[in-house]
Amino acid sequence: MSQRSPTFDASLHQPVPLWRDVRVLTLVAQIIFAVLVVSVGIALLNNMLTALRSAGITPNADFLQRTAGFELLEGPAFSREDTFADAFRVAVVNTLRVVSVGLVLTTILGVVIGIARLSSNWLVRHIALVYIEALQNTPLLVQLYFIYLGVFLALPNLRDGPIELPGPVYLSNRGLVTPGVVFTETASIWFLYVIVGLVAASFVWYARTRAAERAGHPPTGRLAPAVATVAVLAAVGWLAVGAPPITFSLPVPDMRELPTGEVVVRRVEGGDTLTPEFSALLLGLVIYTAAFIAEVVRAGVQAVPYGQIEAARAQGFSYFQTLQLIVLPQALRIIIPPLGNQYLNLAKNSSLAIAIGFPDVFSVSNTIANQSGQSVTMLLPHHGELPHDEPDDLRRDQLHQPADADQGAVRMSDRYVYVETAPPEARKPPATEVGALGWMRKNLFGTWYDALLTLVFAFLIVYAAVGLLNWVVGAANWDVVVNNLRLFGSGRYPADQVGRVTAVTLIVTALSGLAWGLWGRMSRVTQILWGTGLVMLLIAPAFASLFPIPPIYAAPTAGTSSPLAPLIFVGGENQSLHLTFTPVTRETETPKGFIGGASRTAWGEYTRTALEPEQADDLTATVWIAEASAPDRPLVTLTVTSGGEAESAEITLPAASWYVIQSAVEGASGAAWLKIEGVPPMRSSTSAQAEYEQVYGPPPATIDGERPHRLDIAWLRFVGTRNLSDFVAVVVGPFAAEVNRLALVVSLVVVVSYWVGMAAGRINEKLSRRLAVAAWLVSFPVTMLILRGLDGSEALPVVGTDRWGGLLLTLVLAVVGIVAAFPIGVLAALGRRSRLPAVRIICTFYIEFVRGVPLVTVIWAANVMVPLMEPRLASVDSVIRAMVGMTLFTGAYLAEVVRGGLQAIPRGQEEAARALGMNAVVMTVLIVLPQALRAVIPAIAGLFIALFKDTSLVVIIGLLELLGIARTVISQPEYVGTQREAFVFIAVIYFVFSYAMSSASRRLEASGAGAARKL
Amino acid sequence: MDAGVDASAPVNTEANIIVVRGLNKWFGDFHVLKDVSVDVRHQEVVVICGPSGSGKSTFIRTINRLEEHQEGTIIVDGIELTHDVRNIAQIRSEIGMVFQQFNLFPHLTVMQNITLAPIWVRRWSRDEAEAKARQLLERVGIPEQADKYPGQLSGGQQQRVAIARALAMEPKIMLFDEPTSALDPEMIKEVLDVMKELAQSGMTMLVVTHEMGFAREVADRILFFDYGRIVEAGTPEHFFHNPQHDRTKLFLSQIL
Ligand SMILES: Nc1ncnc2c1ncn2[C@@H]1O[C@H](COP(=O)(O)OP(=O)(O)OP(=O)(O)O)[C@@H](O)[C@H]1O
Ligand SMILES: [Mg+2]
Repeated sequence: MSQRSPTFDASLHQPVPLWRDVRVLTLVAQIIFAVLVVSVGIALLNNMLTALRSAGITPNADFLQRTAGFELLEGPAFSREDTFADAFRVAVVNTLRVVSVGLVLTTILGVVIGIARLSSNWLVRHIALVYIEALQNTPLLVQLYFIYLGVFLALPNLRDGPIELPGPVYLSNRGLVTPGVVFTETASIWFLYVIVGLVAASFVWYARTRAAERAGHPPTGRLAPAVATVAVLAAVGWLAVGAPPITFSLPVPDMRELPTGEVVVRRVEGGDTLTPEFSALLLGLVIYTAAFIAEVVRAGVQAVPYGQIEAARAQGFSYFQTLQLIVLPQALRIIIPPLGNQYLNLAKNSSLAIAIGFPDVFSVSNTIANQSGQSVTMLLPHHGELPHDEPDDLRRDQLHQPADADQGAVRMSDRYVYVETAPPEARKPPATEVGALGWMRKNLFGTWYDALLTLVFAFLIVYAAVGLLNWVVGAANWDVVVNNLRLFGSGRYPADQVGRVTAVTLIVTALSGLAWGLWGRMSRVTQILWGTGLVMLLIAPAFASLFPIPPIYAAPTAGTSSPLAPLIFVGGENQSLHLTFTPVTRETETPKGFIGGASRTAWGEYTRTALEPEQADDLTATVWIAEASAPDRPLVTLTVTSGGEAESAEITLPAASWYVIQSAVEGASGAAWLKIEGVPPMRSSTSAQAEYEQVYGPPPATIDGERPHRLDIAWLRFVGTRNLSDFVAVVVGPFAAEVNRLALVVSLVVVVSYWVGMAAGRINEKLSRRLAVAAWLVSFPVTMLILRGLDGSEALPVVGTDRWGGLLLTLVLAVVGIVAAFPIGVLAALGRRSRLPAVRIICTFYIEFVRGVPLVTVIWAANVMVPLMEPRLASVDSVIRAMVGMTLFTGAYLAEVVRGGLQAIPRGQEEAARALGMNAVVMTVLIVLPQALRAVIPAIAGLFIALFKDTSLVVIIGLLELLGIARTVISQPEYVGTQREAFVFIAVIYFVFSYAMSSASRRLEASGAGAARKL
Repeated sequence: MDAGVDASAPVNTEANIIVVRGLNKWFGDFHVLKDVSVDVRHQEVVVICGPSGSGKSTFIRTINRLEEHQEGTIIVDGIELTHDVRNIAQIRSEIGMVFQQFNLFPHLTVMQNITLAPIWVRRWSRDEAEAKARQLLERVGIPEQADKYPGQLSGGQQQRVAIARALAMEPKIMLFDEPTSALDPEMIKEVLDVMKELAQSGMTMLVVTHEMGFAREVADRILFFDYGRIVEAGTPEHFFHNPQHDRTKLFLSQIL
């Protein structure tokens, strides 16, 4: 074609209509987007300001100058007359104090544990592993509460005398008092000497370094002279200033005798005081962050190829030289960036101070914070084993010659030549190399310091394990758990509707089992574990019933304001009881078993009052036992008098029914107690109560006009130390009875659905997997519907989200958070990569802003601001508000994860799609997103696990998820002093879920689910 | 008999710089080295070959204690390798080693790589160490690369730096574990040339290699390993022209 067609030329120059011009279109799109975002923002802001104004609040900075009217007990001196601005200053100082001390301590601890993780000593390595897993898989807030309430506030009352440690250091529930340093007037002059000394020392250091350099030696021998310089000048200064510039103040307990003759500690004077709040916050942040730093250190050190270490050793470097010159310089480059993130996390997490009442910035200002408190688990790179040669069996077999080939071997006369004649056979290694012995030598007793470490740690472990076991079996009061299982499970979800929660649990379990069968493989170990678990669940109640139930004691006492009210219990036909009625003297020992009434102290006080020395013991007491339907026809009556003999009786109950124990007392003082054997304490949970009513009918409401006590776990208290048999009978039995049925059903559903999944996978894997994914998608709205109910429905009455609680709420928050965040995250990720600047800037701002702010503050802000933003939102309850906050928050993190996936897609993919003529939407949906999302599945799983733990932060706005329930339960009077039990229990729940999910996601990663598909 | 020697042969540490008697090593239950006995004389060049997985690397690594052996005796220059840390350090500083993967320290320049051990282990002055390093870089043919980082060098250059690094400690013995296996063919020659020069200068060398040309030209003796034992040993003459053992024959037929 030598001539161009004129029409073609003409069309080239024809102006493109505006509505088809790409440049115009993109501009318009951006303007529309920006206007939309900005106007929605303005509208919300406007609403908020209006709402604030109508509440009489105008946002400005004047309030800072008003007096605070509250006190801060921590940090620089502050009183209620000081201003808000002063309070803020104190808060900043406090935060800085915790963060700065925390950073130093956590770095030291983290590095030690990280190195321990790499130790050649098996025991040390595994202790470090357990430490890391335990702390990473439980929420920081739970740890903080445990440390604060379970450790520091559980220390002895200051009044009753603090624990004294050498130093002296005094520990009480008012904090930690250590010897303190006091600077006198001469201190400032002395400091001048020290500063001069430091300057001189740096000169010495520099000179020595230069000298070594000039001589070309490695710079050693410079520390000692430098230190000596400082020391000499400091000593000279000390003598020169006359009065000592520094004195020490030792803490001294200030004793005071009460009028009653009791000696109590009023306070500890002198020394430095660390409040329980400061200590708990510091300790919590340090040990939590150290677990993450340890992983960072381990990953960094392991990233140094083993060949580097071998090369260094081959050159004769010592262990420490290798570490110092070869390993650390290389590892540090990998360690430092994630270490910085962990430092930032510690600083952010310090905002959790609000939970334990430590006055830090967030806690005091209680507003937005540019400090951040999110603990999104960093995904550390996983390192494979060091590569080593694998024997190539195939090739060996080809090469291998029959044994008789050796027969023809000839011995050459040349002394340089050797031909094998009789080949040595492979032998077993010496006994010290293999088997238990060899393993121990290599892993536990390799060198003398290894052996020492092993012995020390073995001792510590045994010591800790024995202590823990004694506590769990003997001392801990597990009633707080056993009696409140329903609360821990679903909070205040109405008791008669709990079946719906069970239904949802089973749906999710069935789907999980199905997924497991379709995608996973159950290893032999897992199968055995499930099997044993099932069997144990089946037999636990029966097993527990083999152990004798400790007796119950009830004590009618003379001279008290409330003689024993009637007691009721359920008894079966032909059940036999043994009753012993004993007059109590001062010599009678406190019994072991259940006692009626509140606590151990109450019991002590009760008998003490009854046995006051100056009162005469002139008690005559009678107890009798009768069927509740006929309280005035006793089956047996026992009477004792002070100083008299005990009475006992054996009775057999005539029918299955409620029974009543009543008592009458004559005389002014004295006590007696009734020991009841053969009656297990009744269970007190709602479900158990319903069961009793079904079998034995309704309990009598009053007996002789008085409300009776049930002999149930909520009213009884165990005194004395339990032994293992008591533990099984008293804790394991009732616990198993509570969870047994649900756990059994759940396990069966898992097993069945697992097999169904396996079978379906074998028949048609692709179709079954698609169906399973569809079922998961559908299950989300379905389960939410079942939980919430339908307006006006009979079968599924509405249960408001304000009634959801416990583990149910924890899981719902996490699931809703991730599901609702998904569209936001994907859109924001795409937006951040958009070619349109307006879209890009807005999305980037959203992502970066949210990521810079701690989750606590996002939740808190959502809680406060959602109702203000739009009047119609005012009635939304705080669960939904928390969900909004968590969704916005997770959206930003998800966006970054998805962006990572988008970046991993080769450029060619997009170019190919465009070349095929796909438009942006089609390309994104069909080509880009499927690949990007597949690549980030493990990262999303990690995000979900972090979110699961972070749901605990909603306690800040008073929601009753797992942690909130624990806090509520322990604040009930009958569970005073059971914080540790409650927090240990929920920590175990968090751990089990988090650990299971993270090992599943690790397997997902290993199986290559996240990897781009091979072509 | 001096090559694969009788385990009961008399020990002569005067004539032999390395004496190995009845060496046995296991990885767990796996018997890697079975009753290996070898004497290496001063200034001898010994090439070790054999099929993959036969224990060649493991053998030379036991000589400088990168691998611990369980039975038998290793005596290097009159010092026996025992659990004594001092012996291990002393022996290591007398033995240089060159690895298949070079294992240069990536965070240090070529010069620093070479001078690090002389300064920190031998306690030489820096000037001394640097002068030595320049001389060695000259010797391996890359004097101009001193201030580069290992990542900026070709494989052949890296391996020559590694050789210089090992030589900087003035070792009496050099161990080479497949020094050319990770290299492109055109780089192999430059490394082999350096090794030949080294052999001619009278260094005692133990070389694991599949370069049969090198073995034929330079080796005083070739040890053939199979299944963790020495099945045949002899001069290159013997080895290439008159192998006795069927395993050796098969191996040669495949490799040549
Ligand atoms: N650290 C180790 N742990 C366990 N087994 C090992 C280890 N190192 C080597 N092996 C095994 O010992 C045997 C000998 O290994 P070695 O590396 O010495 O073989 P090689 O002769 O050097 O082989 P190649 O020619 O492939 O380098 C191999 O079967 C190998 O799998
Ligand atoms: Mg090898």
